[in-house]
This record gives sequence, structure tokens and C-alpha cells, in this order.
Amino acid sequence: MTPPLLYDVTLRDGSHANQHGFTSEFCSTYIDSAYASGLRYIEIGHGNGLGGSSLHIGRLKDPGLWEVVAAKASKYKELRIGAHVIPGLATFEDVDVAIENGVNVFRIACHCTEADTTETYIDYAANRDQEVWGLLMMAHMIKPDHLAREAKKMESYGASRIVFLDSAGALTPSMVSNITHELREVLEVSVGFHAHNNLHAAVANSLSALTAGCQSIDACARGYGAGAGNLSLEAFVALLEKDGHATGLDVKQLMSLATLVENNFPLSLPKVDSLSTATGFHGVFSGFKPKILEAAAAYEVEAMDLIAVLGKSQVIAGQEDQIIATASKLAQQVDLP
Amino acid sequence: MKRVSILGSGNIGCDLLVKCQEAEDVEVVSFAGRHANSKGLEFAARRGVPVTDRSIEGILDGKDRPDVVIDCTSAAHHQHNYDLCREFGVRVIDMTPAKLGVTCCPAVNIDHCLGADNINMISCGGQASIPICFAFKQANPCLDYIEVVSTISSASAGPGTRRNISQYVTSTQQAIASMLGIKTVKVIINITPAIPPIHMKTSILANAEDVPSKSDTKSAIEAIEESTRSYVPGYRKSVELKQLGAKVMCQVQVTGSGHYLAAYAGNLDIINCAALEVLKHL
Repeated sequence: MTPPLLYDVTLRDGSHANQHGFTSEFCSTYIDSAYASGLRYIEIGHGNGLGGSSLHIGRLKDPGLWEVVAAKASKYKELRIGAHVIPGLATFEDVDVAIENGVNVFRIACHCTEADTTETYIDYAANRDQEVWGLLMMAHMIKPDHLAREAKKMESYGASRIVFLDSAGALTPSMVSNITHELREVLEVSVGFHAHNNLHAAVANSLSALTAGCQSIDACARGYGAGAGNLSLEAFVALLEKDGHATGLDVKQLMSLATLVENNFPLSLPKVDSLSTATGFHGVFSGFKPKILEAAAAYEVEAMDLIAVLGKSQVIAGQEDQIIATASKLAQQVDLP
Repeated sequence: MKRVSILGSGNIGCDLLVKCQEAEDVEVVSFAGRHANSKGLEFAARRGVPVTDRSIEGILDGKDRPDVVIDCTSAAHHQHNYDLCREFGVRVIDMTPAKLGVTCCPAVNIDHCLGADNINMISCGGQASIPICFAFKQANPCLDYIEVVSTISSASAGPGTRRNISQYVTSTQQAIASMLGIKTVKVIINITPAIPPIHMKTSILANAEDVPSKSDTKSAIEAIEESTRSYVPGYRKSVELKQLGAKVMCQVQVTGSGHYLAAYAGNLDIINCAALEVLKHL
């Protein structure tokens, strides 16, 4: 097993956990500490990426994040700063702004069946000499061979790596292994995996991905990400190091990074509670958790019922309004699918 | 009798053909594409309409020149089509996002558009959201931010839609902002593969503090919903205006008429219904 590229999504996925409330000051301290631990790929931004700041999903609270990005990009020449880009939320203009501020890795993401919505965005960023990856979200919703066909499309558009995301924390180790094999079979570019911990399987799934041949793994300090959280970066690196795989990262420094997160966000640290388990079981997007609680309270319906219906009606990331619509129908006891 | 030609033989063109043939006082004098054997041209020929595979040139060269051309091609081709139509004094209803003409949402500004030689129908999300945005602004004149989130089924999103997402977002934002005088507009689009395909849904969100009178806003929404439904039969409120935290939201659903396209393709139906409404009033 070759040690993977560890891609730090804390400052982006963690934005879901604190309702997009990272401050510039925290991000600045975080990036310095992460860089010191050896991390070279750090993603930052709204939980849903560029253009995500909205009433629909949640407003980014600190408008000054770009200044931090620009400062760190000029301070650390080896640092690759990533942005998450979902076509339909982000526009080409958002990509331009990110490039101007020093972002140089664009992760163009779509729901796992809609790869052709990424073509013009991959093209746009690649034509501007950026590193461009293709991301397939909610990967649990389709069969591995279908996912591989979508991944192949992204490769043909020019993506230099394909990452599949277990956005609902709904995959098991054997599913992750099957998907990885299927993707490796058809792709020439590298494959990456992004875990969520809804069923306590982020570590097991990420190890399974590595064993099956994934070359990059997304992780968060202290697992600080949407819903039940992501793969815990420091614990995963500790596991790899104990098994004799040199990751090139400083475990002690990563512990400090986790402590930094713990001290700053004691009230929103991820936990695998019953709601998170239910979203994982029903295959509902992890980032929906606060919206599910809000809508359940507003319409006086049971959050667990809401989660079950959302799973059954195959609601995908980006359809936050459908949580409200579904709660309103549940409250009126209208027939639901 | 309005003499109209349909330019573009894709889904939009074929559905418009059926709508025009069902309408009173509208005669389709020609239907144009670029490929002689296309499914669209065959469909039009079967319906008894003169067809041409020479695009706009075929329409304007024919002896049966129309009064109006409905351009269902693409933004890239629209300038050329419009230039030729202008030469011959033929008016244009533009279904592409080219934005060369006056932007029109019939429920809101049809009277303002009828004198123009090029009337632009904006986008599906624009047609679904502008009536509700108008109601918000009418009931709350100080409103300076609004958000529009449309979700369409994967089955109804053709290759053109998928290649033009960034342009769709930007041009719909601009159209809503300028038509309604709302300073900042954010447009979001989702494409979902859920089975069975969902009917198009469009949510409108605003800051709760910008919407002091919920009851006035609700009445304004109801009024415009009804006038929009007079030309889009499947236009229905699916979530009543509701405050959640610092935001208010309501949602409409658009069920297609099922002319050429399935009922779930409300996104394609609504822009065609809007174009037909303009045509009827010209």
C-alpha cells in the first residue's frame, strides 16, 4: 500500500458543522498549523463550495476569507489551496474570483449521475491552468459500474483525479472496495475517497479504499465536518504510521491541529447521534442535519419520519428547500412517495 | 390569424408546434431544422407542416414568409437569425438565453414587450420564479435581495441545459434583477435523477426582515399564481409562504401539459406556454 495523498477538507466541510461560521482569524491560524504538520492540500470555503452562501443553504458569516487565502497562497509556495465547485451553485465568475485570490485546485463536484454538468466547468478551470479534480457526490445512490461510467466522463473532460464521496455516510467497507476496483478498472487518472462517519465507518471505509487502490483520502482535523463528521485526519494518520506506512505528516502536530478545532468549536464537534445514524441508514445527505431539525421544529413533525421520507424520495444535496416542502406535506399528512 | 415559423427542431420546437397547432388564430407556416432526417422534422412533417432543413434561410426564402419566427436554436446562433429576420421585417420570439431583445415574463410585463421586434423569454427558471418574485416585490417595495432555487428532473435536462449552467444562472439573475428592480438576486439550479422524475419545483426565498407583511405577500402570491396559471395550466403553489429562522420561503411546482413532452418536464412547458401567450397578444 502506498501512503495516500491526504487532502484536508476541514475548512470547507467543517463549515457545515458551524453553519458556515469560520472566522478569518481561525482559518489563518489553522492553515499555519496544518502546513506545519506537513499537509500540502487544504480546502477552504462555504460547506457547499463556491456560490454556496445563500439563505437556501446558509450564509457564509465572514466575508474576509478570501484575504486569508490570498495571504497564505503568497506565504506558502508549496501549498495547494482547494475550492469545491458545484455547477448550478457556482458560476464561472466565482471560479475567476477564486483564481485571483490564489486557489489553485478546483474540485468540480456533481451528484453522482450528472457528470455531464461538470464538462464546461472542468474545461473552464483547466483552460486557466488550474489543477482540476472531478467529484461524484452521494456515491451510494448508484451501482459501481454506473459510477465508473460517470467518472470516465469526468476524466474525458480533463479531470486529473476522480474522487467519490460518501456524502451520506451510507457506504460500507465492501461497497467502498467494490467501487474503488470498478473505478480503477476504467480510469487512467488517480482515484480518491471522501468519507462521512454516520455509521461509524469513516475509518473502516477509508482503509478499505486504500487497500483497494485509492490514491487520495479526504479528511478533517478532529473529523470536523458535516453531520456525523468526516474521517478524523489525526487518527487515520496515526493508524497508518503505526502500521509502518510513512505519511510524511507529523502526528504530534496533527494532534495540536485537532486540539485547535476542539478548543474553538466545543459546541459543534461531530458526534454520531441517532439522527446521523438515521441519515446514514436512509442515505440522506449529511449536511442536511441542521435543516432537518429546523424544518421538523417549524412544522412540528418528527425528524426521524422526515429523514425516512427524504431518503425514500431520493432527495439529493442542494435540495434543502425540499426538506421544508416535505415537512410541510408531512404536517398536512398529504400522500408522499 | 398569426403566421408563425418555428426555428429549431429539438424538444422545445416540437412541443411549441403542438401548442401552436392547438391554439386558435395561429398558423404554423414552416418548421425548420438543420438535418433532413432529424426526429423533429419528421415529427413536424407528420403533423402536416411544411418543413425545411435549411434553418432560418429556409424559413425566409420560402414563399410563405411568417409574421413571427420563434427561435428555439441556441444563444450562439440567435444573433444571425435575428439579423436576417430584421432584414425582412419579421418579428422574433427568442427562446435562447441570448438576451438581445426585451426580456418578457407574460404575467409581469407583457404589455411592455409587445412593441419590440425581439422578445426574449429568459429561461425556464426565470418564467417559473419571476411571477412570485414580482409578488414579493409588490408587497414589499424595499426588498433588495431574493433567491430562486429551481430543481428539475434529470430526464428533462438536455445536453444544451447541461452545457450552459453557468450562463443560465448569470442571465436569469440579471433578468430578475433588472425586470423587478431587485438589487441582488441569487439563482441556484439542481438537477435530480430521482425516479419517478420530479415535476419542476422552484423555491423563492427572502430575508424575513424584508418581508414585514406576510399576509399581503401571501395575497400577492395568490393573485399572480392565478394569472400565471391562465397561460401555464400546471403552475401551482406547492409550499405556502413560511418563515424559518431569518428567512421566508415559498415554492411553486410546474406540471407540464404533456403535449410533446412528459408531464414532469414542467421546465420546458412553462417557457413554451409563455411564448405562446406572447404570440397570442402580438
